[in-house]
Amino acid sequence: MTGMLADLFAQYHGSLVRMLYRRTGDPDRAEDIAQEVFARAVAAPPRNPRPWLFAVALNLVREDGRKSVRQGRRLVLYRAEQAEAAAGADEELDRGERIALVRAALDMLSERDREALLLKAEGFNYDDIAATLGLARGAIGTTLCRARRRLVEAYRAGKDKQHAAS
Amino acid sequence: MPHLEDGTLHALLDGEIPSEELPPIEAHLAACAECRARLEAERAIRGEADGLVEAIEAPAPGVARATVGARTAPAKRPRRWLREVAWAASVVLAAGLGYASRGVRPPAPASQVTARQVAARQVAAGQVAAGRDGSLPTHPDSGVTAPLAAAAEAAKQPVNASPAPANRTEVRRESRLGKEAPVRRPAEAKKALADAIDSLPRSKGGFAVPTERLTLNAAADRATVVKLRSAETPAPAAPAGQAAGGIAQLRPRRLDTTSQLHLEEIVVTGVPANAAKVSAPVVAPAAITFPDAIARLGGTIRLIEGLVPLRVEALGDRVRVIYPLAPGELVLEQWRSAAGVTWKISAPAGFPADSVERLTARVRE
Repeated sequence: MTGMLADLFAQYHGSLVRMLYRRTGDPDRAEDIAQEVFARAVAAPPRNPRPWLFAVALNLVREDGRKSVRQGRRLVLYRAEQAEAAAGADEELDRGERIALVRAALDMLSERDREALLLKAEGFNYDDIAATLGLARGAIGTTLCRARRRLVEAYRAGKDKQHAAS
Repeated sequence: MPHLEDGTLHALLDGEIPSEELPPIEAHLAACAECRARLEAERAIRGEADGLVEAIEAPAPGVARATVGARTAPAKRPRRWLREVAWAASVVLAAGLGYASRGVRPPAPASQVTARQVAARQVAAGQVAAGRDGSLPTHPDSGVTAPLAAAAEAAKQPVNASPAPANRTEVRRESRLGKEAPVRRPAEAKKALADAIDSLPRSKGGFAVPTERLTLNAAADRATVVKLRSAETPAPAAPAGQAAGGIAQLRPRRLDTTSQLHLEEIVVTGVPANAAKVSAPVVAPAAITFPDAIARLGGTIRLIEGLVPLRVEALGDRVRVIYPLAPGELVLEQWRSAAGVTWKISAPAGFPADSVERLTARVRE
């Protein structure tokens, strides 16, 4: 059991955190949820791990999001000023803006479309996406098509709005 | 064959069409210019969309930020992704013991108030040299004691964001499941430590690998937690200096075991140079791998359930499994004898005896 769980962790933890970060926009929340997911896997080792891990994670995001204020959670961060930060300041702003635009565009998608897209980005095949989201495999192609189109449209619209404003 | 559906086009682009279904699709594409054009259009959209999603990686480096209490709005600049942070110094994780296990509410004796006392105690113990003016030293690379004091200050001033010192890096994370209560008396601290050990995960069968490691810090009257990280979210780079105060120093290690426990670990050691000398054996133990250790012990090894070992050593015919404490190390020493495998636990001076007993109870094969 040790080996299996450690394996799961090594294999999927990074991918899970990344997906959660893209989904929530909050690195700490992503880490917390990932830890919770693996803790649950310890309690009840899943048979089909990857869909299970990601499905639990996405459920937690949905449940969690209903709380408007996250109580009892604190992050105290003391950070040294990085030399690079000063140097790449302008560059970072643009990149940050771009990421913000993508995130805004992602928010325009339906939850299911968004999740399918994020799972695909983690290398899930159609079978696993279907298993994770509880959809029919035959629907995945259509779902991804719609998700991709809407993301691109929303992103372009957001960019245009921004340029019009500036 | 009728025109191809959008879903089919994307499945084709994603390589998800079963091989037996390909020939009619390819035949249609060969014959139908419209569908060919649509395929190319979808290919472009797919490329752009996937690129956008992948762009959401590693946010930009952030500036110092302190958030205490309920989560505030995100900083204006996206904060730096943890994996990119070069953690040059100590990490002090408050005793949230964030196991994220349902129903487990571990005691969290985060002693911000006594942090200064802790540092002072260490100075008294000769582990840290005090400055001439009696101030506690801050090693430029580790800044161990200063963050403790800073943490104490921060706790007293919940609203104020403490300014980040010039060349220190510290992250203090309190899990949302942990509660905070300052520990004022040694007896409370001992109990907290005992409770912390008791709340380590147990499995019904087999050996539970916790996703967070409990670091027992008896000297500071608190328990700190360091998270395991997988290989994909690597731990920060090795720190340059040595921890002056002996709370924590980070170093990623790869742990070799017979099972596939390939984790990059955040290893918390807290051994200042002079303390190490006190407990160092005459013959230096040699680091060995787990499979080697198991072989030496005749096919089995005992571990403390719920804790993740730092490393394994061999000293003569004895195998030593090392667990991190701060300061010092907890050693589970075992060797083959007439009776089978004998083992004992050694802890540094000052570690409560009943906690040793509790740990003893958690030794499993």
